[in-house]
Amino acid sequence: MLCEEARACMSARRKSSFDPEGSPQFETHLEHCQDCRELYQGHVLTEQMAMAWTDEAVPQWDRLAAHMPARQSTPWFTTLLPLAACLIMGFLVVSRVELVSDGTGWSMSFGKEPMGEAQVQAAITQALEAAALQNNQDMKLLLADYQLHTQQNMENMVAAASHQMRGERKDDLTGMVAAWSETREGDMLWVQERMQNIVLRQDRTHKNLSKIAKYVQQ
Amino acid sequence: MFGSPSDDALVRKALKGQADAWDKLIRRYEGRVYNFAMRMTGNRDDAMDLMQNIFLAVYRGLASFRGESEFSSWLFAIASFRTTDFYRRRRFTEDLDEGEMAEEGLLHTQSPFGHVVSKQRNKCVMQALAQLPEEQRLVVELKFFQDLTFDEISEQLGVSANTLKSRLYGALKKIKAMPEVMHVV
Repeated sequence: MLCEEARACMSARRKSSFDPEGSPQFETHLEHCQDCRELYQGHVLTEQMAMAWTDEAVPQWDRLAAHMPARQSTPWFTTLLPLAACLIMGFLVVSRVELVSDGTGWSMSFGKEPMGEAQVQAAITQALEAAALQNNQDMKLLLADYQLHTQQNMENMVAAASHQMRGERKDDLTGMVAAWSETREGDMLWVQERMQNIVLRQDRTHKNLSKIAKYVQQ
Repeated sequence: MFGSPSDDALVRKALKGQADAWDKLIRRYEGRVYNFAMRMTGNRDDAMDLMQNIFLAVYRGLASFRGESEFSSWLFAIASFRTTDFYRRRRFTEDLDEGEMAEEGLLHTQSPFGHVVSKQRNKCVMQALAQLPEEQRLVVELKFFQDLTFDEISEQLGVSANTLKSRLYGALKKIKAMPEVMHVV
C-alpha cells in the first residue's frame, strides 16, 4: 500500500464503516511508514477531540440584527407619488407663470387669474365706444367747419354782386341767393346723411372687430 | 406532511420577505454556527460577533443561493470566508478566559460532574485548536467537526485539495504532540 492510499483510508475512516486497523495492508504500511503512523495517530486524536466537543447553547442574541435589514419591498407609491407631484408642480410652474413686459419694465407673476369673458367684452365695448365718440366729434367739427366756410363764401359772393348790380338785377340776385340758400340747406342735409352713413358703417366695423376679438380670446 | 420545511423552501420564503422563514432558518443553524465560531475564535464574545457577521453575510448573499448545493454547505462556505476575514481584523485571543464558559452555555449535561467535564473538554479543545495556524485550524474544523470531504472543502475555500491535505497533515502532526489533547481523550 502506498502512503497516498493509506491516507485515503484514514480519510474514509470517519464517513464509512471502513476500519483501517482491520486491514492487514494498512497495518503493514503503518509498521513501515513512520510518517503515516504519526498522521494516523494525529487523525485518531483529532477525531476523539471532535467527539469530545459538547455543543454550547447559543446565548440570547438579537436576531433582528441579522433579520431582514433592508430587503423589505417598497410600495410603489413611495417612489411614484413624489415623481407625479414633481411633474404636476413643474407643469403648473411652466403653464401658470406670466411674464409681462411693458414700458415701465417687466414683471413675473404666478397663478394670476385670467380675465373673464364679461370683462373682455366690457373692455372691448368701452374701447369701441371711446373710438365712436371720438369719431363723431371729429365729424361734427369737420361739418361745422365746412358749413361756416361755405356760408362765408356765399355771403362774400352776394355782397360783391349787390355792390355791382342795380334794379331788377338786384331782385334777381336776391332770388338767386334764396335759391342758393335752399340748395345749400339741401346739400347740408345730404352731407349730414352721408356722414351718418359713414358713422353707422364705422359702428358696424367696430362690432365686427369686437366679434373677432372675442373669437381670438376664446 | 406536517414536517418542518426544507432549507430551500425557507430560503425562497425569506427572499419574498417572510421574516418568520428567515427566523426559522437562523434558529435551525445558529447552534452549529455558534459552536463553529467558538472553536474558531476561542471565546464567546468573538464567537457571537462572528456568528452575527456570518448570518448577515448569508442574508446578503441569499439571493445568490441557487440551491445547487446543500444550504448548509453554502452557509459554511460563507462562514469560512467570514472567519478568514475575522482573523484578518482581529488577533486570535490566545488566553482563554476562565469564566467564559458559562455554566448555562453547555448542552447535554445531566449532572454537575458531567457539566464540569464537558466544560473542561471544550476548553481543552479550544486551547488545542488555538495553537494551530488559522488556515490549519479551518481545515481541521471543516474536516473533523463539519465532516466535509476534501473536495467539498476545496470547493468552499477555493483552495486545491493537495494544499488542503498538506495543511491538514501539518495540523494532525501538531495535534499529536499537544498535551491538551490527552486531557480531552
